[in-house]
Amino acid sequence: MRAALRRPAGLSALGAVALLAGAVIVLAHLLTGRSSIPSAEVVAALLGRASEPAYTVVVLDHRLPRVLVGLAAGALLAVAGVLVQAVVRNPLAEPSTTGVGAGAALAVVATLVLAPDLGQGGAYVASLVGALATGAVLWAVGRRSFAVTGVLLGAVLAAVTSLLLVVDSAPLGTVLRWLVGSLNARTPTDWALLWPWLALLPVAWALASRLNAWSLGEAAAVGLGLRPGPLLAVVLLVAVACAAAAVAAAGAVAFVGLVAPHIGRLLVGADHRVLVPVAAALGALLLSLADLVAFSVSVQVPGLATDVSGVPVGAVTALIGAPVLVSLVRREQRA
Amino acid sequence: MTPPTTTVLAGDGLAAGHGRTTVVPALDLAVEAGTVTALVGPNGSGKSTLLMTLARVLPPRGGRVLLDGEPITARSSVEVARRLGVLPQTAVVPAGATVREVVEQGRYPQLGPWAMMRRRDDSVMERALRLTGLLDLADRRLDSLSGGERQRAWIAMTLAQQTGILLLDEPTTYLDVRHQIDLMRLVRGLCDEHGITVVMVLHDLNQAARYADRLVALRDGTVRADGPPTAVLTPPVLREVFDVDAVVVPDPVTGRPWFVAR
Ligand SMILES: Nc1ncnc2c1ncn2[C@@H]1O[C@H](COP(=O)(O)OP(=O)(O)O)[C@@H](O)[C@H]1O
Ligand SMILES: [Mg+2]
Repeated sequence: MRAALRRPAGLSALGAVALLAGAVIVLAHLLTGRSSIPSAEVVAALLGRASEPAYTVVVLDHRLPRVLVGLAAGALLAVAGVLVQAVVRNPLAEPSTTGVGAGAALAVVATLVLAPDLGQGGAYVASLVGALATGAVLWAVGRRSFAVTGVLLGAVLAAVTSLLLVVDSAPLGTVLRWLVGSLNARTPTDWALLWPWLALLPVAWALASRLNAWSLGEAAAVGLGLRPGPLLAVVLLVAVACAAAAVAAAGAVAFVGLVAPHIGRLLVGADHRVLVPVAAALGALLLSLADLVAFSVSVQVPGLATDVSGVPVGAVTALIGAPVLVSLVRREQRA
Repeated sequence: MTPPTTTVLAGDGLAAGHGRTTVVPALDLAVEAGTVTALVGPNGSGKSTLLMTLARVLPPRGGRVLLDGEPITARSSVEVARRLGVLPQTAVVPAGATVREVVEQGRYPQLGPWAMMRRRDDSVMERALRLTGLLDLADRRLDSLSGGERQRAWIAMTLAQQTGILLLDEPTTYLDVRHQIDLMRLVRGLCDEHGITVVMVLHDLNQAARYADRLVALRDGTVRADGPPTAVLTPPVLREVFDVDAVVVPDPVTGRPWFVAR
């Protein structure tokens, strides 16, 4: 199957399937919700012609941003995963191997404890700054053994976060969103803050031929004329920025950054020129699909269906992602 | 009458090592254009360390490497990669990569990262696959191949670089007798017909003597013998370098020195 999918025709077919799946998921998101809106009105709202202003608000300000943020964050997480896995040449690495998610969470908690008045905007900025600062520390301290350093850094940052929450548990409810990852109650502002980061995706793609050479090992890569220092700096910077943008928008969602590259490799192989876009599409589909599950469960369970306190998508990705990953790794070993 | 020679690759007071340990204290070595040089020596004598330092994969701990008479650091890494190809002793097998995808990487130095964004399957790759007998295995996953087949894929990648100089670290490792002979003949042919300069680490001394123009015997990071096979593959050198008590006779096919342990 893989050999067929590597050919251009197979790739076009794969792209068509991905687009179709994306369209179905977006439609499902737009059509489902706590208030039932006729499908014709949903379409009309998208075109700005809904018969009731409330429909326009629900569709354009609640449902649409939520699915768009989910698609974008999923793609960014998956690409961060591909890049991190390429750098350490270990398919079990993932965005959280950099400690970036833990850094974001700590920054958010610290902000909410020290300056609760800053609100949503403050939390967003804190999350971004925390994630990028963690990336910088990682580069300064442990670029040579960066998987170990990143995991350790993440553990230390998570411990500090727990300490802060023990001292002051007031922000726990808000911060859970960052710790677990959630797409509940996304607003057009969240989308406006996230979409410019999608410019990182073509940047990551442009690194693909270098990543292919790098995957042969450092000695062979240098033999081919690659300079490891500058390459790793750029790849890590792009990976950390992708993860930071995704985490700031959706929190530290688990497994998408790990599972999407794996499924991608199973479908199209290890060539980064194909793997980067395929993993991005898979990440987008996986996260928005998991969010559909999270939202459907929230609607089913009375009392959960408020905007903020619904089932977080991070819980769904973790529950589904763990067994999926185990079976993927087994398949890869058998293949 | 011997034709004039040019030195294409040289170590000039070269010291090499890993981290804080020095493996090769100081070494002068000049490799002439269009020759095959075999580096021999016991395990841990510094053959790989020396070869990788000549290939600018390891930074020298002292002295310098000269490529075409100029410091190798004067050229960008990718320019060096167009002149000099390296087969490292340990390469990483990328999960799921096919033979063709690995060989394709050999095109990187000449085409550059942007042209390499397009899938390649050109005559250079075809030739490299053919010369290493891999045409039938081109679409197999590298991690599903035997050690020898993988080794040939790495050699094919290095050939696809189309460089005038090849540095090969134990290229015959894992290869069966047939493929070892094919590879040695290929190396000889590249040198004789295309003037390619080869420096390779070999463990089989009889093979080294048969196919190389020059043998360099290392022990503890120093050159103990250097010259044509008849001057290096001798009982005293074998004793000094390998602690082997041996007789050397002319090999029945070519008359080159051939050793048998006593
Ligand atoms: N990556 C490394 N780090 C530290 N020491 C090394 C490394 N590689 C080799 N060495 C040491 O350098 C010495 C020479 O090794 P090497 O050049 O690989 O020998 P050879 O190729 O002749 O068998 C050995 O003592 C070995 O232990
Ligand atoms: Mg060696």
